[in-house]
Amino acid sequence: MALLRLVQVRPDVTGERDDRELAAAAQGGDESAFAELVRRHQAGVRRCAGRVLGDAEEARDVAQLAFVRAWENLHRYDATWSFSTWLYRIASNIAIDVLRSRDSRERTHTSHLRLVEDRVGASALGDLAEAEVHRIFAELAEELTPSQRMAFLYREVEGMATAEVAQILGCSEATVRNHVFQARAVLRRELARRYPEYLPRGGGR
Amino acid sequence: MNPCADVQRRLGGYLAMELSEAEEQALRAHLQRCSGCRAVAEEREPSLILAGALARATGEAEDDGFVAGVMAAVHQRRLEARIKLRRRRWLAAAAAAAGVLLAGLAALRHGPVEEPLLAQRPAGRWAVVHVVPATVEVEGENIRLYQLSGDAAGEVQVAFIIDPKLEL
Repeated sequence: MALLRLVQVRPDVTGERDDRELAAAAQGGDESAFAELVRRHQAGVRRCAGRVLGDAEEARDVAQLAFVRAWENLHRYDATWSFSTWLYRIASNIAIDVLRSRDSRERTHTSHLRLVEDRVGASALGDLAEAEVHRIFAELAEELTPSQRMAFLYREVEGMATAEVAQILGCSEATVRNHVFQARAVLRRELARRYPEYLPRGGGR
Repeated sequence: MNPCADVQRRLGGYLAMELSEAEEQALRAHLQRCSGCRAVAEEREPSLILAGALARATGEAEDDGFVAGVMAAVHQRRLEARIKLRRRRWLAAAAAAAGVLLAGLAALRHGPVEEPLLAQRPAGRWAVVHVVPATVEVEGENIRLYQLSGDAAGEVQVAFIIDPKLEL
């Protein structure tokens, strides 16, 4: 009994509230609870948006809009979902809109220019500077659909479970697997075509 | 059992996305710390090289300025929503007033013909003549409403002028 009481009391003692409690408070109009949710999730949302879009400034704008939309739609938040999954879903939808609105011809042109300029140097992709890794991914990922790009990033890079990615993208787990398989195939092919120096000596499949 | 042998045995299932969530997490954790197994996995699936390099890029740190920016945007949206609500109430009141006006207009147009409500001055401008109760006049699409009531102290006039060009 004593242990049970200790477990029940602990959240009050530490003052820490979990995401669902904070979301419930924010649903009641508590802005400080929402600010705490923003503080907790901002780095993750901005990082993911940055990986999806390949542009830090655009990612910041998308992340900000995602949080504002989350605030405006808090009454729709269903606490059976994890708050972060719901938030990533909002951010993903905004990022998909941004990707679709881009001028793809212009981006392809600039990426080929970069390809010629930058293919010098490093022995392993992991040894490159962070910005360079992001740039290479952004270049290769132009061959992916927005859904393939996000399924790959969420599952293979962020390490999310297939079920969670399915919730974020609003599709079935089978569809997520299909997106990831397609994304892997395209990235393998483009990596071999544009950056063969970064492939393992065996050359992969 | 040798953990590396076990991981490499299950690598096919991992790449086919057939492992349970717990198995997958354990295998990922092993690949992060074991360069030998990671090399085997990357040779089988080269896109993992890219995924690994992206995952090692730490990305964005916490930023208080970002939180402040979001909360400022939230306040702005709240303010805009309040203003919209007030505007909506005002428009509803205006619509109600217009409804009363139009109802009165319709009643007059279809009612019995009475004495002229307005008389024209010799100078050519409209002038109010003694009218009780409230009356409405229409010129084209422009509307005037008059309420002229007499009492012991004299006449009191209330006029709503919809179009300034029709000002008395």
